[in-house]
Amino acid sequence: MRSEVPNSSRSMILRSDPDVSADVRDQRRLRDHDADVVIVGAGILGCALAVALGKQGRSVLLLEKSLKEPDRIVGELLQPGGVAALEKLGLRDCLDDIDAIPVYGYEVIYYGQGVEIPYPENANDPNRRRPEGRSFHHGRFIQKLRDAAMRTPNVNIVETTVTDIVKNGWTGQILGVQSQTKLNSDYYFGSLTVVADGYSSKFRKQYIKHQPVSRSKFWGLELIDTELPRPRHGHVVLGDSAPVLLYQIGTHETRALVDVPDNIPSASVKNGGVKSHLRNVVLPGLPKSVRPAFEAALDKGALRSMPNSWLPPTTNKTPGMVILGDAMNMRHPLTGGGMTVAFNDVVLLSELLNPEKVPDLGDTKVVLQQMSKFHWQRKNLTSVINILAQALYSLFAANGTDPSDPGYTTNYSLTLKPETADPQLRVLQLGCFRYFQMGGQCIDGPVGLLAGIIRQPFVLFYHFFAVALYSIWIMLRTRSLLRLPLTVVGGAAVFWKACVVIFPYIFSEVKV
Amino acid sequence: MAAAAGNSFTSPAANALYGSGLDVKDVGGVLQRLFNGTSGWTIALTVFLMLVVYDQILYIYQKGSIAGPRLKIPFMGPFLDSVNPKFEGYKAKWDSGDLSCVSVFHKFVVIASTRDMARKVFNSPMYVKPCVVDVAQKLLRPTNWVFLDGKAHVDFRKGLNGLFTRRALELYLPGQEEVYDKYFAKFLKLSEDAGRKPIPFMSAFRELNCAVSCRTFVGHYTTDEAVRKIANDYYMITAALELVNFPIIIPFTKTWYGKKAADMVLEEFAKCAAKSKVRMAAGGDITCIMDGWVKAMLESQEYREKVAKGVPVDEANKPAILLREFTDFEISQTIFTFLFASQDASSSATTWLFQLMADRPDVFERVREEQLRVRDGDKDRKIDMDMMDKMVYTRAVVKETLRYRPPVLMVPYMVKKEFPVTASYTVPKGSMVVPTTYPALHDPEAYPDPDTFNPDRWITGTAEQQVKNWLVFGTGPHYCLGQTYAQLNLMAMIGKASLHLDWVHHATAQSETIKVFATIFPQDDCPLVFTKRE
Ligand SMILES: Cc1cc2nc3c(=O)[nH]c(=O)nc-3n(C[C@H](O)[C@H](O)[C@H](O)COP(=O)(O)OP(=O)(O)OC[C@H]3O[C@@H](n4cnc5c(N)ncnc54)[C@H](O)[C@@H]3O)c2cc1C
Ligand code: HEM
Repeated sequence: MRSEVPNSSRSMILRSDPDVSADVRDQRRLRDHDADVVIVGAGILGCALAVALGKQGRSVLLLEKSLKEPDRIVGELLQPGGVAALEKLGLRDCLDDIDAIPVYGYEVIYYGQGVEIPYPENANDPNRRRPEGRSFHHGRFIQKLRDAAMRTPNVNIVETTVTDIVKNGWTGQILGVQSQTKLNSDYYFGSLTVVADGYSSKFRKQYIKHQPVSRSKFWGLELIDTELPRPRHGHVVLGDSAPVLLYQIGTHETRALVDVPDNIPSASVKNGGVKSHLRNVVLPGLPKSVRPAFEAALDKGALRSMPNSWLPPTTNKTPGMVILGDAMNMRHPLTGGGMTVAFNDVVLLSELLNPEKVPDLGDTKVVLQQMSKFHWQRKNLTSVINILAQALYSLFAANGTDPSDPGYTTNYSLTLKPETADPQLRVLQLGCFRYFQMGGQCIDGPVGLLAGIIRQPFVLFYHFFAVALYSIWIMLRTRSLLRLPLTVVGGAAVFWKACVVIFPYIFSEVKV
Repeated sequence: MAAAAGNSFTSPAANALYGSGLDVKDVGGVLQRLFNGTSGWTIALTVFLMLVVYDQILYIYQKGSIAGPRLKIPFMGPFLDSVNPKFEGYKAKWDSGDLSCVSVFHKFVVIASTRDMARKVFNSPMYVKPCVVDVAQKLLRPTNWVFLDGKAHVDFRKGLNGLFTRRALELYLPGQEEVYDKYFAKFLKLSEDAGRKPIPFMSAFRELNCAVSCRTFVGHYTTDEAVRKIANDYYMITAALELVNFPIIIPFTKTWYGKKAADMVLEEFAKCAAKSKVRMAAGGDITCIMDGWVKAMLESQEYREKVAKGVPVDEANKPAILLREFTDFEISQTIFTFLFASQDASSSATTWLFQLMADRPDVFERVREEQLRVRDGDKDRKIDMDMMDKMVYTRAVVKETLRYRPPVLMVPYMVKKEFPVTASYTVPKGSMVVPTTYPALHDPEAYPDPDTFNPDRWITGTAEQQVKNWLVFGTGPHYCLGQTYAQLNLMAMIGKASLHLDWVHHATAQSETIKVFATIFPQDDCPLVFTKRE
């Protein structure tokens, strides 16, 4: 039996073929609705990915249900690690001309006492400059990103609402989407379909086994011409109620995000709803300078809310499709990490899917291999941000939570439920705040993690347990020696609590 | 005759037995000796020899009165010949008798060579069904519609007929033209890159045809890159398609590569089917055969839904044929059969067409003149159906090419029950029977001076009336579904080429030698030089 190995001389035409020209690809996008990549959602992730892949020469269709400037209370503070990723993507100028405010670090206020936590200086910068974040109106930033995508060669943005995923009925490979453009049925096909349709993703359910869990909402207010205790810093206000975030997002506007746990009595309908909770419980705990504008905003009444969700990451395993952004992974927005994760994911993914490594995005086997690498390689940054956000929230929001709440972490550990407003958490909160007050390494590390600058999960682990031990030390110091045996038991309980707070999130990160 | 064969089966063995002087009483002793005194090897050898004898006897029995070698090479028969088939070998076989036979491995093959014998096979669906070639079942999957038989086949085919009507074919012309333009530019570049020295163009023609087919069948649902991959890998499918193959697929053999390539094409077309369904449901226009079929399915479904709901439907709006909804895989399988049926035959015809025209400047000139005329002097005018109707001479050239060098020499069928093909010979059930086309198409009574290429026989001669001899596309219930499309494609392609290209054939001693590679090609793969015609 002669065996016939395919021989390249047969494809003589192949080799003399000029590269597929740009207009052919334009035509395929516009006429045939067919591209290398179809991206669902021109939000934070979708726009950046379209630009990155378009620049690599991929043909990209970016689909968005509304191209009007969004007016949302999300994604308004970009950490330095996100700014750096934007820069890598060549999108730094999207932060220009949107009245963005530089952010130099955080101000944490615990029961009225403040501590400044500046972003650490950049060890790699010869001038030892401190990196900066930016805060802004989300909608303006999004429009800049969409503009950039529109200007990128090989990319087209289409206003259309995606309604369904198209699947090869034989192999199950995803081939693109069905959609609704104005009143007409429409369709877009791609070798790779990227689902980046945000926090309430319509398409995640079929493909991801976890679903988001939310136990609180952020209620947003826009404060006009208010003076923050430390301008150009993000403010975290901690006290008896759940945390409040404050940051300036334009020359005259400051955003207040108030975390309101689900089912708390003070926000129940009986007690006058969220509005009276904000007025009676939250307002008194805010810095004095902020209260008038907060009250004015309350009177104006334009209250909006967003669920604060937790969705651990999963590996994309569906041939022909990847799910990214909030659709795939979310953490509490307390630390403002979502966009930083998104932009860094785009940087990493565009490296992994580079045409040199993956000549054909329709080669599902290779793409899936790269997606598995993606899942693990993104962790250096994202696991830090995910765990930090969740652990900090668990630590500081407990005071205001409803005891009947089944708890966030149910999915991951049924037995390890953080109790509400419990004494161990109090000890940890105080210890954490005192730890920050020591300054130096004790703030550079934690804020470097939060800023998306330090990409070492171990550093997070180290600081977290340093805080736990420091908390116990403070407890020991302040209690009388006579009660030592009790205090030792209490210390163990605090340590146990610290573990209960962090381990479920660590476990969630080591899963596939 | 079966009796005669039976005699020759029993006597020699009987003679041998008696001649050795053994008595029935001794038989027990013989067996004992066999089992006691002989080694396993002897037994194996004995069994082997018995099988050899059985194989020969079976062959002789099946062969009966028809022509064929007197004995068979043990087991494999002329298998090695079929690995490297030669036109002359086939021709000798056809000339050896109206019916002749060979046996390869377990397969007994009867070849029907004359016009009437071939027609008889084509038109006997009671006794035969198509089997393409053995390996085709493995590549196309046994569930493929082309292996359907009887009413099931007729019904399925009815659902496809609408895709090849004149009105439907007109829709595909712009797509075809797009591909011609692209490939003509490539031909020029190939010759340019070769320093205007002749290079074989056979594989380039194969690629062109594959691209045209893909464009006509699945439109823009697949990328140019995918089409090129299909065109390139299709070679391996053809290579796997020998009349007779080793019965199982062994890794890294031709059939194995062929199967892999076929799977790739099936997957690509299944994707196209899923996309076509979505696009047609969104109200897209028909741009390819797949669209037409999917649209017909949607219309049937709509009709059924209306009927189920009790909505009155005007008879005029009832679909001509009610189709069920086919899965993506079923659609892919079916479209794949179109590619499968068209690719080798169309590539063969294209290659001969370019060669024959280049060798005959007078023919070339007349085609060119007609092409310009039907375009009212504008060589860039887009092709439409009325224009095609006016291409009388071009059509004659295409038909004469198909007659002179019929791409499909033989069409294998499977005998499903004892088939009394003549009064004196019955083809045994389970064998292969193969009607041929070439002898009918080179029959001097139907086509005087048959070995001369003469397009005028289709215009001023009587060739057009020889419908019984026109077996290029087969006949009977399985006649070629794509015959009109295939001829239009060849006419449109060569017509357009004549206006935009000049080409010169650098004939070699091998140019008129026929190479069999599933279909037929010039042995030297057609060395040509293309230049742009200003
Ligand atoms: C209250 C809150 C505050 C936050 N604050 C910050 C912060 O300060 N800093 C930070 O970094 N992160 C923050 N985040 C997180 C951040 O907003 C998200 O991580 C980020 O926006 C995720 O980007 P994305 O591209 O995945 O989704 P999005 O930016 O939400 O984009 C999704 C896009 O998909 C479109 N879409 C949806 N469905 C369809 C459809 N069917 N067809 C077509 N298009 C569709 C939507 O219109 C939208 O444009 C916050 C989150 C919340 C909830
Ligand atoms: C020059 C080109 C072609 C030649 C010479 C040719 C020849 C043939 C022949 C000889 C048969 C067998 C007929 C029989 O068994 O009676 C056949 C069958 C078939 N051909 Fe073609 N063919 C050509 C092009 C095409 C094309 C372009 C298509 C595309 C759709 C096509 C589709 C088919 C199909 C589907 C069958 C099987 C029909 C059935 O079993 O019912 N052919 N062809």
